[in-house]
Amino acid sequence: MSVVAATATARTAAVTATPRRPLGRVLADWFRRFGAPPSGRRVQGTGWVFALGCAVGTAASYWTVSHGTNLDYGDAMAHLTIARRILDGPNPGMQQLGTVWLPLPHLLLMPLTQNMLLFRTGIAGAILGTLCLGIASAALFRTMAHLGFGAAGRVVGMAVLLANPSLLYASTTALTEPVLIAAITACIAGLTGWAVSRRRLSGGELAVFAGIPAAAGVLTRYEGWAMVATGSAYVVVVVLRRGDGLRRALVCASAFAAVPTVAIGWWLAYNTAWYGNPIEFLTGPYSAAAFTDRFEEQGQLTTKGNPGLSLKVLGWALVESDGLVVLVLAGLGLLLMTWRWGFDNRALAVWLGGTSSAFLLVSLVSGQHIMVNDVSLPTGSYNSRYVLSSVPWAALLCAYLVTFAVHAGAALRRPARRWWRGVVAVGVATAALTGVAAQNVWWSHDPTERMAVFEEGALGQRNFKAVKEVAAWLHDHYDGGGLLIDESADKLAVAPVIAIDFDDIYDRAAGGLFYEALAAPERHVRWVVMHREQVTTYATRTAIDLVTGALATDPQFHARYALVYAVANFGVYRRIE
Amino acid sequence: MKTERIGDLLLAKHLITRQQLAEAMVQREHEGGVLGRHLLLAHALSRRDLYAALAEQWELKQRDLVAEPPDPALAGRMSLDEISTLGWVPCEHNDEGELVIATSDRPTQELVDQVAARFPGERVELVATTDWDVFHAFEALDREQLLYRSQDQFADSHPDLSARRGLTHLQIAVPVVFAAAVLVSAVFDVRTAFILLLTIANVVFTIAILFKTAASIRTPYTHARRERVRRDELLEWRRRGLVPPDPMTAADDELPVYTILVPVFREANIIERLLANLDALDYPHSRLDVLLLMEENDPETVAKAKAVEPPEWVRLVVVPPGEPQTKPRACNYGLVFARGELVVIYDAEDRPEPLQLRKAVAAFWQDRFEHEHLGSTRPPLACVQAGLHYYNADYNVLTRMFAVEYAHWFESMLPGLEGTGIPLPLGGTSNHFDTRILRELGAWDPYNVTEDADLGMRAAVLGYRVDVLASTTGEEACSSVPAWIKQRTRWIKGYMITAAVNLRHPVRFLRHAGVLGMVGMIGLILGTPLSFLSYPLVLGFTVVTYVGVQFIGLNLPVWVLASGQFTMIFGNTLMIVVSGLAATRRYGWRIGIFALLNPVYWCLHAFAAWRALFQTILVPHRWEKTPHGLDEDYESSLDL
Repeated sequence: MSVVAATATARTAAVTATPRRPLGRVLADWFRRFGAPPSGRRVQGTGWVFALGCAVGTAASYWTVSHGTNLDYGDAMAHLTIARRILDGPNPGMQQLGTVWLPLPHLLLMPLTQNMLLFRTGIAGAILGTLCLGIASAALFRTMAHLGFGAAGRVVGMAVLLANPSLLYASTTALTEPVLIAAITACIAGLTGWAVSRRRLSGGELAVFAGIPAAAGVLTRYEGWAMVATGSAYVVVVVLRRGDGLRRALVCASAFAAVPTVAIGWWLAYNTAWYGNPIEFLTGPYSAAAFTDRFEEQGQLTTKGNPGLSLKVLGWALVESDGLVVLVLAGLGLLLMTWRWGFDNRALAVWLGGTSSAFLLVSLVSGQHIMVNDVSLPTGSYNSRYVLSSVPWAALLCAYLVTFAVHAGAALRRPARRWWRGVVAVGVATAALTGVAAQNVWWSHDPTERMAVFEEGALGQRNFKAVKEVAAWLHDHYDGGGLLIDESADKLAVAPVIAIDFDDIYDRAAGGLFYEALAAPERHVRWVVMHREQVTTYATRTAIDLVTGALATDPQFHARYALVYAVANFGVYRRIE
Repeated sequence: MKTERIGDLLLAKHLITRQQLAEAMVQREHEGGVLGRHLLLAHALSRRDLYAALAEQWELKQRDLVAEPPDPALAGRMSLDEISTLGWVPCEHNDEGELVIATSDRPTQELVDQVAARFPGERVELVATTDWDVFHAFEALDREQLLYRSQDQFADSHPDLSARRGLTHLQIAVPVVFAAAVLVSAVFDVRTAFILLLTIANVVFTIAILFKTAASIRTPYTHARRERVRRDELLEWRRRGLVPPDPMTAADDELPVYTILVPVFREANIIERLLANLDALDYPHSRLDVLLLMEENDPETVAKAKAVEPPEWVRLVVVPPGEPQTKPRACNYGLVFARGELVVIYDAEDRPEPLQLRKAVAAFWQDRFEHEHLGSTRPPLACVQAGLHYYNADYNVLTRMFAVEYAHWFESMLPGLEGTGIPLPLGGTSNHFDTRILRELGAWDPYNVTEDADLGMRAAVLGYRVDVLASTTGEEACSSVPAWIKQRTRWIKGYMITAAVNLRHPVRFLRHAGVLGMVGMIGLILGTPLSFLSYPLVLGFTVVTYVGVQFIGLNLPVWVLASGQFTMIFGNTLMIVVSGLAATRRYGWRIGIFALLNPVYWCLHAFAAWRALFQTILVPHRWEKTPHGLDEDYESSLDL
């Protein structure tokens, strides 16, 4: 045997001879590392948790995309459409962002939706939602680490977040909730890291690690605006408690709020530039206020001015979205946290997680938002998904409860033993996880009845069934020549299903071209899709089909176009050539 | 003179132990030099005791030059250029009319000849004194002359190259006239004025960005070329059957004496750390000549430096008060006393890589070898600039941004410029000079607040070369915005003044520095402040045109809108990518990711640039000192 071969053999033998560690020890080490306290800004395991969140999101996305349920929500299709329009279409530009929704989700979706496959299948939304789930997971994990939660608490906290079916479903769609949740959890993580740091971190740290996520929230949903207010108050309280004085407190709060303020300023400037009104998003015809007015006129905005009913509706949405088991655990956690921590900086950081829920309650009472579920008046299923932003808060409280229980259990045996503490931690975590699993098992028996988010999705699926059939038929038969459609009309926001080049589509977003095509369709388009009869119920009053209004009863139109496909009230017309 | 060896003499007097003697002899064997110095370095005995023994060995009387200072008139007859090399000083004539010479060197015939050459016909009486006494005697002899040399000699001898005169009338008039012209044209035709102003701003910004990016893109090529040359050299050595020399492992006794100038001002808090950092250098202490340059009006630092009792290889130099009280003035003062063949400047908070001095020696040896044996046609090497990085990069957001910027400058852009013939502006620290060439260049201009950049340009103009050294020094990044603004104002002002000084006679500069020199002057020295000055226009323009030209009623041509937005987005993206990559390579992604905030960071630059512009016109010599030691208790968690 050569010297080299002999050396290699010896090395192999040495490697083989290395004693294998028992699985229990390996798991215990992993568990310990998972619960290791942060070192400065570094929190061990953040990357792995991010990857875990992405992996769970990917698995969920695979399921919903393969079943086509990720496009059940009309809003999800609308978000995808707006995002694509910014660069594609006869009238591209930032004005396509509109004012119905805040712009960030569309800007984030924009590059993904330019790919027709990602747009048509909704995978664009799934990718964004999955990344947001990864970010939210990592941010929640970091917050728990900064608050001193051990491995058992962190595992349960992550489970509450990543095993929530409603949140997972939302993360596979193009809805705005995943972006909002990622933004506010990242903001809370930044604020917590700043507040509990041993070194007094600068305002710049706040601006970057908490202010930028807060700005993302501000440009995603109005809950983000509330987060800026509570976050600023939190910063002031922390600085004052440190004894650094009011001036320093204001400097730090300003640093935190600076980026969100710039974001708000940009949004106001955008509204002014394109609509001549800085608060067009509040008062314009496509604003939330205009939308809720319609319900109010019909006497259906019953939560307005009614805190009791608002609380009941919100509470029921929480039960159906977060789960009763989780809410009970979180409630216990809240009580124990208040008992042990009072309202110290750590406790207030956890309370920040409740900002969006508090905002929703205020919105319901003030009539800014409408939410419909099994306990609302009238009953139904609408917008309950808004409460998904409470899941990270619930996760934090559950994690606190478990951490507390582990400490209490470990203290039962004196003197303290590491193995005993490990046994208690595993036991408590297992009990909590069993509860969460049981909740999911119960949900799984009738998801569209027991979970509001799934219920609304199923409703959307039913409502859009006919128009999606029409859209799918058009996708298969479209042979160029242009399409006239009023996508803003009731149920017609199905561009991802039609999935043709936006340059060919003449809709309201095309601006003047739409009205030109409406006046003389035969000169511009080969295809027309519209309601065959105008629907004029109160629900569609602000979603009148302009194409139907102009062409449905026009004999000239019918002389030049033939109805080639129809399902229910939706018709596809093709120019006679 | 007694024949008894000094070691034996010290042993006999029980001033040292046998072990101390043995250790000192081993050190002398390795590093060369005299035994006494090794004993002092090892703290085996006091300087006074050593020189008392030497006086006895030399059979000379001993003299304390502090108690009995020499006659200034006699020493004044000697050139100040000599005093760093001589170990003796003339004192006075004794009663017998003999010239008394106090020496810390062995009284050899060579020494007697040196004296005779400077004081011909004099009868001489030698007395022994310590090297410390000789150094301080010289320093005390003619402070006026020393001050003149450090303050005004360069400006008097090279008025065209000095910033003392500040801007010329023409140089002040040009920006004023330009601003007035823009204002006047705005009154008559605001649209045209805007188009003109925005176009100029965009062009300036784009040129500066492209210059920096092109240099960065060239860096991999520079590294590859250097590697190829090294490989070819190794192959050639091997082909000839020779073992390639490795200058990094040169014997200690072959290394030259290295002078380290460390100007400190109001930095008493970091003196101990400074000495620890210098002590970490892998260079024989017997060949180190560290000069701690303190200001006389900073008694706190002077007291602290004395209190910590620095080692033998450190000399404390107190610079007399004078104007302008700047770092280059202190360095010039210290340079007079520099004994080293090579000299380097470090800031007080610097943490140079331990092998840096050896690497610099290797670079100078390589250059000398190429010129002496290979007929190199490249300009002689005057200076090598080590890279700088920040050891407190992750302290806060500002330090992260600073680190990103430095990584781009020192590890991406400057290496890319190497070998192009474009002059490299030196950084304020870790520039290693050939002492002889440095003195020949006239050393630092104390009236220039970025004397380093100015010196780099001057070296190029006078036919020398500056290279980048593959070694880095850890610095402390300024962590507070107000202090950063002051520091950056000074740097940008210095660039403005350096450009103004060199472009007083543009044609002459072009003739001396060549086209590439002019490219460097415009692309770097002038381009850097101009791009920062134009940044608010470029950024503001993009914001305003996006939010709505309707606001201001300006119907700008499409090409202005498009080119402006392209410049802003393209320029910033380029800088983000290039600097982000450089910072990621140096510090990791946790710092590199902050390159995304460059557009915001540049707003700070722009503020500092406009501040610098006003200072350049109003107070061109004002030196705003950057406080160090802000982060004493902080240790980075980065793997640097």
